[in-house]
Amino acid sequence: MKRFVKIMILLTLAVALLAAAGCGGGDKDSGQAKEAKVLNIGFTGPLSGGAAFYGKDILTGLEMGVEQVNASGGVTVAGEKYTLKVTSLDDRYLPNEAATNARRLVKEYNASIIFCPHSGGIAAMQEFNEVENFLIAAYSSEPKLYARGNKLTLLLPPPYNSYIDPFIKKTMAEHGKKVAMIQSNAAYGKDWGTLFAPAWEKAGGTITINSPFSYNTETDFAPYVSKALATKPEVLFVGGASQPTAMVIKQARDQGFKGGLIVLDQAKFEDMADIIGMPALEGAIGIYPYYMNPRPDKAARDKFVSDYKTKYGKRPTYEHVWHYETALALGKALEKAGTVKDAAKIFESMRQVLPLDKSIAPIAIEGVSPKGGYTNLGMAAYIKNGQYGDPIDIPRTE
Amino acid sequence: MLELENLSVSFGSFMALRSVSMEVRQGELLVLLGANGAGKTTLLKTISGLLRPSGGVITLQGKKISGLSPSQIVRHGISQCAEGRRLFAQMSVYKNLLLGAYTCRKDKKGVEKSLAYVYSLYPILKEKENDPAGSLSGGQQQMVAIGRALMARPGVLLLDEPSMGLAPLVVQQMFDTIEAINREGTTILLAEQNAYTALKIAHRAYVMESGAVVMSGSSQDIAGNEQIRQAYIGA
Amino acid sequence: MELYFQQLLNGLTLGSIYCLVALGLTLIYGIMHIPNFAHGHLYMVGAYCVLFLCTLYGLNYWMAILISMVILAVIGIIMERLVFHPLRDSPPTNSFIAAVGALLFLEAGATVLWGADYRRMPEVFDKVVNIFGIMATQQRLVVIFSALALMGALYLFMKKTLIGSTIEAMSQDREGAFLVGIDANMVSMMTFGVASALAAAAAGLAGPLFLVFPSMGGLLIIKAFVIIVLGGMGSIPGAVAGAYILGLAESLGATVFPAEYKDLVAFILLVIILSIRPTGLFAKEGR
Repeated sequence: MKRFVKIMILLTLAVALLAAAGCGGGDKDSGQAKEAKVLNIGFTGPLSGGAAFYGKDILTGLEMGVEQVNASGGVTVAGEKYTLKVTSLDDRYLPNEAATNARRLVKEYNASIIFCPHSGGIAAMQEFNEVENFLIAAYSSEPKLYARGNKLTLLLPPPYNSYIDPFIKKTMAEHGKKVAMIQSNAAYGKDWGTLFAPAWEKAGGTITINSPFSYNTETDFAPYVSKALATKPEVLFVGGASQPTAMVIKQARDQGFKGGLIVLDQAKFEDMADIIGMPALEGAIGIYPYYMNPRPDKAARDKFVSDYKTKYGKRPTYEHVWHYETALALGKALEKAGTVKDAAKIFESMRQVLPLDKSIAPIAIEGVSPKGGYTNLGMAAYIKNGQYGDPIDIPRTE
Repeated sequence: MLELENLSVSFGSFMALRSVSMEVRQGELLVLLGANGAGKTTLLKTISGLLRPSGGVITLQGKKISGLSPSQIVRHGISQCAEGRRLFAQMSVYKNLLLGAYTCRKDKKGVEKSLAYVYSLYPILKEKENDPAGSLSGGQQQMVAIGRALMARPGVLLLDEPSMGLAPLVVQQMFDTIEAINREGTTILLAEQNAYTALKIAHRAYVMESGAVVMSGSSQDIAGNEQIRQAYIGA
Repeated sequence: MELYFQQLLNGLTLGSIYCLVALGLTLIYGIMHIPNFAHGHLYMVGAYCVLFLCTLYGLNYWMAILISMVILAVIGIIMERLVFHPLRDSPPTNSFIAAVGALLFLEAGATVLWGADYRRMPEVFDKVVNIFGIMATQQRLVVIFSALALMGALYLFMKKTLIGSTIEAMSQDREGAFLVGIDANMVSMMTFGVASALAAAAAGLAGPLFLVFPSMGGLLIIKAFVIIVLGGMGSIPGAVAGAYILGLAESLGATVFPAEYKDLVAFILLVIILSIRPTGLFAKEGR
C-alpha cells in the first residue's frame, strides 16, 4: 500500500512536469503571433520509433529556414502579414499515417504545403493532393515519384538513377569490371540495387555476388564482408546510413580489400570520414560533401554551415540545406502568388522566384523542371590520394 | 531453549499450523511424529525462517527469532537438514560441506575442526569428497546433508525425515549417528514418520495431526500409548 | 577454404561478445529466475562509459574498461535494489514488466543524455595482422583472448572462492542455500554486479569494432536470449557453448546462405537442438 502511494505521487509529479513543459512551449508561440497571422507549413515524417532520428534531423533544416523567413519580417500575402510555423505530425514512417496526417494538416491547420521525407508517404499523399489542393514538398530521390506526373509535387534532391551511369563509368575506368554488391537490404538499398545491377552488366561488367544485408539489425558486418571479398571483386557496391556504411568499408579495408567503392547516395562522405578517416575511403565514388560544394556562393554556403553548426552542434548535409532554402523560396513564392490557399498558384510562383539572390542561397536552387524537380545538377566526388578531387557533374535523369 | 508459542501458519485460507506450542530443551533429542501432511515440515521451515508465521512467536533462549531471515536464524545457531536433502547436486561433497559453514567462514580453524568432526562421523565422505554430491547413493547424500547442517556448528539441529527413502539397514546407522551427535551436546529436533525407531533414541516426543499438536510426553509414554501404537507403529 | 577460416575468426569474435553478455543473463536467471530484458541495455550503457572515459577523459583503453566495469556493477546493483528487489515476492510477470520498463528507461535516458546518433570508439589495436592469409585487426584477437581471460577469471571466482560459490549454490538449490545461511540479498546484488560488469567488459571490447548508439543493446539481448535457451536456462557452460555455437552459426551461415536467411540458420539450429534436448544443451537435472 505504501509503495502504491509512493508510485502514485511519482506519477502525479511526472504528469505535472510534462504538463508544465507543454505549457512552456505554448506560451512561446502565442507571444510571437500578436499582430501577424500564423500560416502553418505542414510536415509529416517519422518522429518516434527507430527512424525518429531521421525525421527529427530533417525537421531541423526546415525549421531553420522558416525561422529565417520570420526573422526577416515574415511574409506579406495580399496585404496580410503572416508568420510561418512548422506544424509537424508523426507518421512513424508509415504511408497510411502520412496520408492521414496530410488530411489533418489540410483540414485542421489549413496547410497548403506539406513536407514529407519518405517515398512511401509521398506516394500515398499523391493519391489525393491534386484534389484536395495542397503542394507536396518531397524529400526523396526515388525515381518512381517523377514518373507519376503529379502536378503538385516539388522534388528536392536529384533522383538516384541519375548517379548510376556516371558512377559506373568512373569506377570501371579506375578499378575494373568485377563488383560485389553488399548494400543495405532496406527498401531503398534494394531499389538502388535493382537499377544498378543491370546497368553494370550492360556496361560490360560482372557481378561477383549480389548479397545485400541489414545494416541496422546486425551486430557484426565482418561475415558479410568476408563472404563478398572471397569472390575477389575489384569494386564494392555499398551504402545505407552513413555510420554503418563506414563500418562496412572499414571491415573491408581491415580484411585487405584495396579496390574501389561505389557508395549509394544515402551515405555521406563527410560523415564517414569523421568515423573511419579519408584513407579508408580511397577510390570511393559517392555524393560530394555539401560543406565543400563549389556551386553556391561560397559566403552564403559557409554562413549556413556555421549557423547550422552553432544551432545544432553538427555539420549540415544536403538534407538540411535543401529544406532550408526551399523554405526561403516558399516565403518569396507565397508573397508573389498573393494567396495562401491556392497550391497550384504557389507552385507556379515558386518557379518564378527561383533562383534566389545568391547571397542568401546556400545551395543556389536554379529552378523547377516541368516534372517538378529542382534543375540543379547533382554532384559526385571520387576520392583519390585522400582528396575529394574535382566535383563530377551529375545531370538529373527525370 | 527453543520455544514455540501459539504458532500458526496459513497458506491462503488453508491453516497448515494451528496454534502450535512446543518447547525444545537444552541438550535433548526431541522427536516430532505425525503422518504425511500433519505439518511437521511446515513447522521446521517456519523455525528456519523459510515460512512466515501468521501468528505466534518463536524464541531462542528468550530472544525472539520469528520474523528473522533464514540466514540470520542460521547465525543464531539453528540449522536444518531439510526434507529431500537440498544438496548442491553439481558441487563436490567437500564444497557442500564448506558452504555449510558459510555463516562462520571467517573462523578458518573452526571450519577445519567441524570438517574433521563430520569426516569422523561419516568416514565415507572423506573418500568421496571430490565427487559431485548428486552422484552419491541416497544414504551417502543424507550424510552430506546432515554433515552440511553440522558445519554451521548449530546449538539446535533440525532434521526433517532423514530416514526417508533409505534402506532399513542404512536407517539404523543413520539413527545411530543422530544419537551420537546428540550425545556430543547438540540439541536435536527430529521430524519422523518412522516412529518405532525414532522413539527408541528420543528423550521426548510430540505427536501432530492436521497442523496441531495432539499429544506430547516422554518417549516411553508415547511408545506405550495404544492409539499411537496403532496409528504409527503398526504393532 | 580461406573464406571458411576467415569466417571462423569472425564467428569466434562474435561468439566471445555474445558469451560475456549471455553469461550475465544466465547468472541472473539462474539465481533469480528473472529474464532480465534490460541486460542488453546495460551493455549499451557500458559502451558509452568506455567511450566517454576514453574520449573525454583520455583514459587508457584497459583502464577505461576496468572503471566502466565498476560503474556498471554499481548500476546493476542499484537496478536490482530499485527494480527487482521490491518485486521479489510478487508473480514473475511483474518482474518481466519491470525489466521491460528498465530497458525503455535506459534507452530513452541514453537518447536524451547522449543523443540518438551513432558514435565510434577510438581504435587502440588497429593494426591489421595476416595469419596464413586471414586478415584481421588486432582488436578481434584482443576480443577473443580477453573474453577467454574474463571467463577464466569468472570461473576461478565461482569455483575457488566461497563468496563466488554462493551464486552457484543459490542457482542449484535456492532453499538449500537459505538453509546454510546464504543471504539472498547479498547474492542477488553480487550477481547483478558481476553480470553488469561482464556486460561492460563485452561492450568495451566490442566497442572499437562496432558502432555505439542507444538501441545497440536491443539487437544483442535477443541473441543472448536465444543463447541461454539453447544452452539451458541458468546454465553457465550452456551459455558459453551456446554463444560460440550461435556466433559460428551466424558467420558460417552468412557464407553459405543469402543474408536474408542468416537468422533462419540460427533459429533452425535452435529448433533442432531444442527438439533433441527440450531443456537445452546443459539443462540442470530435475528442474
